[in-house]
Amino acid sequence: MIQRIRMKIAPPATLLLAVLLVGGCAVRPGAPTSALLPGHGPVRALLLQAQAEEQAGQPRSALALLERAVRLAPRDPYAWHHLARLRLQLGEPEKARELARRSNRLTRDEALRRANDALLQQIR
Amino acid sequence: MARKRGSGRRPAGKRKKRGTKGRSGGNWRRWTVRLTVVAVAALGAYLLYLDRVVTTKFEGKRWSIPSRVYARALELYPGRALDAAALQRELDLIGYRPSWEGDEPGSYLRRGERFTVTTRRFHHWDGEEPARRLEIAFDGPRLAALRDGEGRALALARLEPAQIGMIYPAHREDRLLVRLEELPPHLIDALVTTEDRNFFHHFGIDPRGIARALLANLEAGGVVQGGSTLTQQLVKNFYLSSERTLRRKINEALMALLLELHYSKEEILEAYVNEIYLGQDGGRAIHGFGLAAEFYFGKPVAELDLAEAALLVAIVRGPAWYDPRRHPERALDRRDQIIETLLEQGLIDAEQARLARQSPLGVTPRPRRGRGHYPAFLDLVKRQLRDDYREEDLRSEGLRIFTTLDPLVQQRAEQALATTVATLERRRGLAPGILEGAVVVSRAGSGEISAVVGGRNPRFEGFNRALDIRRPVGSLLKPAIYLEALSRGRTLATKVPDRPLTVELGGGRQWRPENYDRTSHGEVLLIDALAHSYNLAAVGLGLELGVDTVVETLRRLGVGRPLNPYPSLLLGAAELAPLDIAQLYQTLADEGFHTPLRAVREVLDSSGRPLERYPLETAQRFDHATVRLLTHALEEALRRGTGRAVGAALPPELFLAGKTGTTDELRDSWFSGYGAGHVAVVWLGNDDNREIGLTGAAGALPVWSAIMTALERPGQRPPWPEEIEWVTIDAATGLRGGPGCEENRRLPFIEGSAPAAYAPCAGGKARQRLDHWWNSLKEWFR
Repeated sequence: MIQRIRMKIAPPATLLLAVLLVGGCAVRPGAPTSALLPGHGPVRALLLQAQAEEQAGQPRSALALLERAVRLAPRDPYAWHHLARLRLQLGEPEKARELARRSNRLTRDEALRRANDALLQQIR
Repeated sequence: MARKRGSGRRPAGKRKKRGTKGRSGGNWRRWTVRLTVVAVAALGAYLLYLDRVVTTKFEGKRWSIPSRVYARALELYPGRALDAAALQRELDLIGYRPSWEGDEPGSYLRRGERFTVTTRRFHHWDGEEPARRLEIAFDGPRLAALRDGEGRALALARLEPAQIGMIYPAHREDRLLVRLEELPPHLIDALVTTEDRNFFHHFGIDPRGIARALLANLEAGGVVQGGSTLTQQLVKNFYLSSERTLRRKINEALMALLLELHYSKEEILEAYVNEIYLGQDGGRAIHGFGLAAEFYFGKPVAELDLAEAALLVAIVRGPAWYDPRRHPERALDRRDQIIETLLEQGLIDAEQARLARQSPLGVTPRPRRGRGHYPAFLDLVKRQLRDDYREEDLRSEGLRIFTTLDPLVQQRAEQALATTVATLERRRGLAPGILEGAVVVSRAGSGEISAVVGGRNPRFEGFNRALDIRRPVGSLLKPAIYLEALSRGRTLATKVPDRPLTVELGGGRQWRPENYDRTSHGEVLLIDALAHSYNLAAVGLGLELGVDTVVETLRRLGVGRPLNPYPSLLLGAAELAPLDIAQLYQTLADEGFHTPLRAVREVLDSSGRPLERYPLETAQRFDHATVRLLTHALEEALRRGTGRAVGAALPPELFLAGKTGTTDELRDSWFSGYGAGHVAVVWLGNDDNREIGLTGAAGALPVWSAIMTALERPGQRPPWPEEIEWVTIDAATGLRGGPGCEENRRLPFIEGSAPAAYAPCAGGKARQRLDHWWNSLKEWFR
């Protein structure tokens, strides 16, 4: 079920980008959001950790990690995006929408914008 | 007496007996049997009753445990704005000790800007942070490098959070529950050997122990040894009062027997080590070895060495008499006796005993009272939790409450308020103590409250001005009027009339607002009307938009309190608390996203299971580009408008915006504003609402700027939204300016909203035609 939602959220372009960018990494190619990460730093570390928690079926832990990332870098659009994605998965579309909007306000990364727009589309 | 009477009657009795011997003997026996049956039944019933008392409490919730409240955990990562002094303060706050190696959990070694810190294991909401060694290096105001013990670079690590308070049960007993297996074996050995050598062999009471104690006491000519077993001691403390009566002594013995009947030695010992009273910390009673280890040595009980364990056991006999901080020699003597006993009993060898005896007492200095004590913030935490928890549960369930308090920010805010207020009183010849104040600081982005200062004496647990004052807020509400105006098509360059006006209030009453300088300024740019806080312009604009509309804007900005839609509201006639204002400015700092202020992040139960999260919420309420325009006007207000006395001198590389608030007859002085990282609100005034003679700029602003210059970092200006363009404006007309104009202003506009027309000084119509032609040409080539 969760897997199906994730596939829906990620547009094919993002998926392709993810596979291309992190081809060699230990992240499963099916993970839709690997490319939607800042290049380095503590936020990246937290987002990767959150991803691992999410894949291990621990969305609440993932949520706490993502909020920690937002606290560290409130202007990091990736952290807001993943929060939005997770809140949608957890059945909170209203909250997810606002978080995705906030991510969109903060980013100039086209791939991220597309991912946010796809998410917003899905909520509508 | 009884005997005398009896002996006088004897002859008569003899006479009587002769005739009734058989019957009387039968009666006696019958009565004896009956009485015995009744006595046995009564004793049985009583034992049953005691048994119920014993088991009910032992199997139920044994102790009321206070809730522990934690600050935020300090995050460490390379590049973070943090200096060595701040880390040092944080390490002090969480009770880490300096040491030669920095390799014991909870210790550190500092060499200038380099630290070796060995953290303690800590269970956070999102998982456990292991105990590990960190190498941390600073380069001035930045954390430059972070490595683990093996020299590997770390992206992120976090320290354990400082404990900032507790929510106590009524009796103020505190304990940290431990399991028996967490205790070091030499602690158990020392306890059993000293207090109850036959513990593992007796059945609750120990006749041999009583005899031995009796002998020892006779020998010493006073009470040097007690005959009570650990079980009896537990019963006494756990179930009974401290009165010294025979009845209590009998109950104690019976209950000890019953306890032993029901439970294993290990269960009884575990209850004992958690129950025992071991000291006093002001009003807080220290119970159990778990908390005593923290209280006396600043470390978990599992980490105690032999000498430390012996000292804790020494304290058992008399926590006041053997208090190692107040009577170190007495405590040392008794500790050494205990080590000696362990040696005699063959539980340690001579070398261990020698080393233990050589070591100093090792107690930490008594934690300074007042430090790490934040009554105003805790008050807010309790209010937030009261919606979800019963008061009784907060006081007894041993919850672990993780909050957003940043002790480093809190300290800055407290200092800034206390020193500025004292300076103001001195310089302005005000009566000392006349000024009071309050501060709220929150984090931009997350809405987490970093600091709450409830008064100039921040340790005072009384009136919390940050939450509870209700004062008119002066011009602090004006940004709502201008935000609404900008949302409805006006720009920063729109000309706004600042002219005398009369407002009909109905019933023949009239209101004639005035500017602070009692002059009107004619047609002014919208940005200047806000920056200079012109009252006439604000009222005119507000009335044009409609007071109801402004009230609605304030509500969307986050003011939760009901507001009366009177025209005077436009000039701040709303009685609000600093916390209300913080929420309003939080929405501006977050570019139109409403983010509810929070003081609590999460709550764990006593065994570390997650109970409640207070997740980050956000909702877009205003267009972000419009809010950025308003922020630009508030930057002007601080640097060149009403805040210029302080604002003009602030480092230009800091991104700061804010608004003064002054009330009638100078009774309240406000400043509220934000930077890239924080939102801060400051109020100064007098508790009896007397005049203080300070405007917002003269009173609250110096406090605000002291806080914000310490917290904000240069170069953090948020990027302008893509839809913003910059246009040069002629200040006199509000039209496009040019080289011929007297005062040109570069102002931001949402794309397409800037005036198309040129001011006469900039070429007027001719220039506009030229522009038109040029644009057509560009279009043609595109």
